[in-house]
Amino acid sequence: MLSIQILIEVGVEVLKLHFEADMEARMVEQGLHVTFNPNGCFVEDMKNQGKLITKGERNGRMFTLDVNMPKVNSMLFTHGKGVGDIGIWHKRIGHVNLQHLKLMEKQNLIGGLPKFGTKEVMSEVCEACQLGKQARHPFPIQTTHVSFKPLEMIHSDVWTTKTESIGGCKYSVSFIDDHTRKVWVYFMKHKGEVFQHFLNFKAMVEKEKGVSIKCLRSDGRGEYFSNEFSEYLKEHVFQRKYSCSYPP
Amino acid sequence: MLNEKNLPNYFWAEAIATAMYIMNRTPTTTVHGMTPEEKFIGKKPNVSHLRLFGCITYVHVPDEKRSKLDLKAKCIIIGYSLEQKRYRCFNLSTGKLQMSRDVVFDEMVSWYPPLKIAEDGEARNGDVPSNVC
Repeated sequence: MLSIQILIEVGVEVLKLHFEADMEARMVEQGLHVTFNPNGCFVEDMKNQGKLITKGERNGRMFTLDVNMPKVNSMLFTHGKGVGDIGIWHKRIGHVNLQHLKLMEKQNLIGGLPKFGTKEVMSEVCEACQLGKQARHPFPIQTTHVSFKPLEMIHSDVWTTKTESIGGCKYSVSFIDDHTRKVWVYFMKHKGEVFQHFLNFKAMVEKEKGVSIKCLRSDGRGEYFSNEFSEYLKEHVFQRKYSCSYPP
Repeated sequence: MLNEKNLPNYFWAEAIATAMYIMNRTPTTTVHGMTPEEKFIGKKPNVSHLRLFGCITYVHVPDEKRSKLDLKAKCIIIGYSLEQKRYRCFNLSTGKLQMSRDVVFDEMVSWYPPLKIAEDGEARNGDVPSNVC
């Protein structure tokens, strides 16, 4: 029983300490200077030639500070850079997006908002928004990669269906040459045949064009990562790239 | 392509192979001024032999392979041979693939009847011949 009480007391003390440290940190963040001495605690505004804002009484080993003064209140109990911080307003207005927030301020759609700069961004990433509203990145409209010769890069993918074809196949693997965009398709009964089809395809196109395949790009599925496939690519010094999972 | 002539889904592989054949002969956004086939091979492809996928095809059977009263074969076209200058024709009565260039096409007609919309709104193919492999 006693130990629990001690624990609670210690816990309260820790909480208090944490709160006090937090308050002090906030005050420093606001450009306020806090000093503690036997006469009490003094809060000075460093931006304003050290003008005294408020004074706290000393009561034994405790300093009490009256935070009900409007100026101190607004400075201490708003987080971040102060009342004009766009992050706090973003959170206050239901995590609205910044464009809307700036639009509301600019067109004066609601009153009481501080002025925001057009390029103002949030000082820190809003975690709640990331957890709740994160969306997929847009797919680039133009590709960054351009290949200048045939067989510089081959895209490959496996397509699966439940319906068996007239030959009994359930899978197809496609190879697309990035430069010419010519397509080759092979049909398979098992996904393990991808490697064999790749060898056939490679032999055929390399004979035809007289150059070798430099890069194979696929998704990260198992059929491209079998032991023999990986070993083969290692031996023949191919570059292998694979795309992110779940692309649009 | 399957839907055009109400083909059943087990022709998907043929449809994909034909789509690949056609895509290699149609322009894409990244290759300007020519088709992928021309860019790769260096020769302008000809498409005068293309026919509607899945349409009825009457394949000539040589005299040596039939008696006088036997019929010529009635098939559907399911693609183009990559190795030879021939059409891939599927004989639905025998369930066999035939490669031939002596063919007559009837592009307006389909082997399969139009889709029947069932009461539950689900589209189903008409009767499929039972002897297809």
